[in-house]
Amino acid sequence: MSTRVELPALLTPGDAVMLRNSLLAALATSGRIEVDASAVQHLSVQGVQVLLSFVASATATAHPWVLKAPSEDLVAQLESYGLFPQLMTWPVEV
Amino acid sequence: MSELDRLRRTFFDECEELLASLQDSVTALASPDTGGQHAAAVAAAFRAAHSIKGGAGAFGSGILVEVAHLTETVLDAIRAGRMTPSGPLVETLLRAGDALADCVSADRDGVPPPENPPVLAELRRLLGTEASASPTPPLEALPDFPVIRADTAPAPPAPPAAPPPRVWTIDFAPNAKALAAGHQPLLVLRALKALGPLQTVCDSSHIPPLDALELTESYLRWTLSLTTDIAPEVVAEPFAFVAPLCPPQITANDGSRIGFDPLGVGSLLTTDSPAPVQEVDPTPLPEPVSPETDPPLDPVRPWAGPQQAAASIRVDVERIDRLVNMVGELVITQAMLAQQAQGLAEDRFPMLFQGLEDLASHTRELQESVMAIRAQPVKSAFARLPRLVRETAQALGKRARLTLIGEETEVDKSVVEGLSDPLMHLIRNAIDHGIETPEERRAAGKPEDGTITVLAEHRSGRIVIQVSDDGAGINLAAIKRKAIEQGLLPKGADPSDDELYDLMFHPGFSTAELISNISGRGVGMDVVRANVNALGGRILVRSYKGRGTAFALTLPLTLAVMDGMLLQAGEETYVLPIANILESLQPAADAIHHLVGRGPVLSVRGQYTPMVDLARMFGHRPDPCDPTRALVVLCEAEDGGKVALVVDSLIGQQQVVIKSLERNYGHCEGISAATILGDGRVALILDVAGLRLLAARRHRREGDDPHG
Repeated sequence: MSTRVELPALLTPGDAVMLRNSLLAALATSGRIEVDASAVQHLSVQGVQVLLSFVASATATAHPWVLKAPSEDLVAQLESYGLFPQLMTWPVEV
Repeated sequence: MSELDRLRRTFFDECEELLASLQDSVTALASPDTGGQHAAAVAAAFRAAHSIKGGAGAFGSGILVEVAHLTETVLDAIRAGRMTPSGPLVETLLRAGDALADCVSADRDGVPPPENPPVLAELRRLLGTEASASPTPPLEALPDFPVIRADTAPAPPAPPAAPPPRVWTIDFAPNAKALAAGHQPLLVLRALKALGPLQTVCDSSHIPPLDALELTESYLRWTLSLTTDIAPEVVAEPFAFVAPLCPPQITANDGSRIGFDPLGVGSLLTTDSPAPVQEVDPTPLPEPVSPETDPPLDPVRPWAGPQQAAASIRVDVERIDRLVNMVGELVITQAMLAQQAQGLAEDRFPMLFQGLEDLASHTRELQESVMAIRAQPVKSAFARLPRLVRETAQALGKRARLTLIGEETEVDKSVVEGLSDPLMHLIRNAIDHGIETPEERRAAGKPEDGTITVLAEHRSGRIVIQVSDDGAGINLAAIKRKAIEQGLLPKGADPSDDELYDLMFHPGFSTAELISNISGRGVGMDVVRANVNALGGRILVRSYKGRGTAFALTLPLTLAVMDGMLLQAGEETYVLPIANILESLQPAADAIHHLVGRGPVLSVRGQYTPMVDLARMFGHRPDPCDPTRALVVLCEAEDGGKVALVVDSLIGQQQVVIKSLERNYGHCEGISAATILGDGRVALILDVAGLRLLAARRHRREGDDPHG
């Protein structure tokens, strides 16, 4: 059984709080976590930190997860943040 | 809409304000510096140009950056006393503002900006950098800040070679304070990317696990490598606002270093190695240079960082509109509840009535607060007028100056937006057809410079925008002749001045055949009136032969809600704006008189006011009512004209939500809008000035009807 977490279109600092809670709840489950990134248009730095922190947690606990259908905006903005190398290490399903 | 689009839209909105500020400030430089206001104007203009440049850099608008940069540099020279703001220099700066506006418009509309605006050459000539600038340099080739030397000896000519690009290494670690203040590193990174090839490395090694993550903390750090030949000042610009909170470390491969004053507001302190400056020959400067007052070359260059934490926020208009709509619905609901409660005994339901009273009070307060959010100075509608006057006058070989009065008068945003086109049209017409040529003016004993005055003020709960000129005035005889020719007036008609002015707004009425001083005065005036009517306003015209013409646009302060008095006329309920009501009375028979061709008039304290039987006027009953048995409401229109409305009764005062008739149905003379009453019925809102005109016309057409 997988848990799906949808990233909002605008991952604002306010949304980062809710995303953190959703991802924490997902990490508390045992199944695979699907992070749906298809709608993302904007990534605040707070949102980026939550994503990176989630990845760090999932990696540390070997929790299975996947980034689903990352949007063009998400990829472009991670690149602008200088995080393209990190993105390349994440499990992605287009 | 993507976040980037939102940011772009915000940038364009800001540009509008900044361009207006730039234009105002530069215009102020043309006036004598009696109270030291030039220094403040130059500082304000500099800030505006600098902010435009910063934003444009972030969005990669190369030509916009360059024009803003050169403008800013000229202003910097004025500020430092190296140039004196005389007439030609002010003209150049105004043209620079125009070019910036063109570039912004082009960027906003998604069309290519002007490739090489002529003002660029003017600005370069002023700065003596003409030789080094290519016709259309890319953003990366933006010239460095030129330094005008302090010594009085003639400087060698500017070296034509572009400085070699430097590689800037930037260590940027935003802290929690920066994030709390709303700074987003992405904007900085994008702005830097617009300056040249940028290598971005993000150190995310300090990110904790999710359960330990503090969302207010900042864990990321960037090491950036920017290759560019742009001046250090420009490289530092993206950090202007964040630097006071977390100054980046910026060093170049040639040892240059950019530092920020940690105690100040982003002051750029030093560049250890001199930036590749262009030394310029001061001789080409057309403006007087005061070398003896030149300050010594200061290694601390001024930096226009953020002045103060902003005490305002920028909110999407759609959100406010939603709020306005909801307040409108709330007003209707409140009216409905009040109406429902009318049948109840107040002593049996005291809490209910107290609650309704509180609801009415809070609704009103909420409505006023929301309207205050939407209110903005009409200044923004005036922003383009100086340019329009200048260009139109130049094109027509006339001389005209513009005087703006009451720019800070506040009005609903939608009214401000809707004003722009009618204002521009009226001003163009005023110069084209109102203001005489310098020769004609001289011959008439007038100053060669015509004056266009645009005035804004609140009057009787409305805003009045008046465009007046001191030109030749409108030739009423010519209008009458033309109207008869076109069959708009019968031969032998004796229309009033107001009726003749009204003809100017008839579609297709005015043509070039009209004689000189009014020719074309009506071209497109029907469109002007349609626009003004759509805003719930009207146009009043006054003209004096040989002395000038004034068009007064009277508009509601808000298009959403107003205080109205509900009137009963026949079976219908009408709403009369409270602001128009002077008094209500039941007249005695001897107070009513009849004037031949003007219908009945009411004598109140020695003044005679035309009477209008509302129910008869709108066809609700064929016979006139006896005013001595009815009620008369004495009203005053925005132009000061009075009318006595004969109604059956006053129902009560109420806030009403204005619904446009223009948009939903069409223009109705004597009616300004409609509203929805508490019981769900639609009621029409009366337009007092329109009623007066309508009644006058009807009396003349129907003859002398003793009952109105």
